[in-house]
Amino acid sequence: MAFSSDLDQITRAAAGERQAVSALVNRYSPGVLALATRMLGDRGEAEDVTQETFIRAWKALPDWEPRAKFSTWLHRVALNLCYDRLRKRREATMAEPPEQVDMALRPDDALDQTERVKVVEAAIAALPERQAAALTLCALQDHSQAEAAVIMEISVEALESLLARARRALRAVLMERSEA
Amino acid sequence: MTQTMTDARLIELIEAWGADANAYPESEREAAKALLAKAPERFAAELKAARDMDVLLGGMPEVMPSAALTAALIDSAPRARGERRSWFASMPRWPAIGALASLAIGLAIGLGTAQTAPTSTPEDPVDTLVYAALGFDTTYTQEAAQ
Repeated sequence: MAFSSDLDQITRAAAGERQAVSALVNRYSPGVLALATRMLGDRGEAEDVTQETFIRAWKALPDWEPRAKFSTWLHRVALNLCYDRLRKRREATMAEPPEQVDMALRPDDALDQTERVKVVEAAIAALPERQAAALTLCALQDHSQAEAAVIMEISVEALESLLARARRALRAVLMERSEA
Repeated sequence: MTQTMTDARLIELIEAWGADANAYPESEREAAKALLAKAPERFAAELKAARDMDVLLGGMPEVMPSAALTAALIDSAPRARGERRSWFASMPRWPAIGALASLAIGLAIGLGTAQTAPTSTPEDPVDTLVYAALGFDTTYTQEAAQ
């Protein structure tokens, strides 16, 4: 249903119809932005990735062939852009190590919601990138297993393994912080 | 078709997909539910840890694009032929027309003045020296300077 509706909107957006363009942006930009925000841990960079993703989408629209869902393709582009940025960040980090980000919860913290969100966001962004992607797509964005696997270009079995490791690592980080 | 579920496999599923069996792969879902119903105490610790993590992740706020980002994304899309960019279309035209008029007036005044202004003054000693060095008669300019 959503697939055929996408195709219709893609065709109209490719012809420059503003209503179709707006519909695609409104439907998919929150997911793309959320994925980039969780992956990068930086709202400004996530917005840049979102813009770049949509610019690539607009370029691809005229030749779009419905081999994959538009949403899947869009998230894959965004994810690859995030990987690129994280790679560049790692290269910069090797040249000049940044200050360690303190994700610790102080003992007197009552773990209020805002603080908790910050800690979890930082912990997710600190995970190995493929674990962060798996966790974001499956646990935070409710993509189906099959769709998340296609976005990440891996098997469902590999996705499951990444998810398990991500959840273990996240739990370990959070427990360590709360015990500190 | 459902397959046989072992304790070890169920723990793997819990650790990967969380405490809600509805999130498990379809092919293993029913078998996992059956084993959970049969001996829930065997998986209590794993379920508790997974449930805590599910609650934590479920409490993460949604990330929504700002109005500015949404507008930028829409504006970056291709336009139908003949359609103007919204930022340009909505721009007031008078400032641009005023700037162009100022430029035209400035050019006209500049050109008019250039035609009447002397390109060099007769009392310029540097010019006199240069003309003399090039072999020109500098008597006139020297007289004029006096």
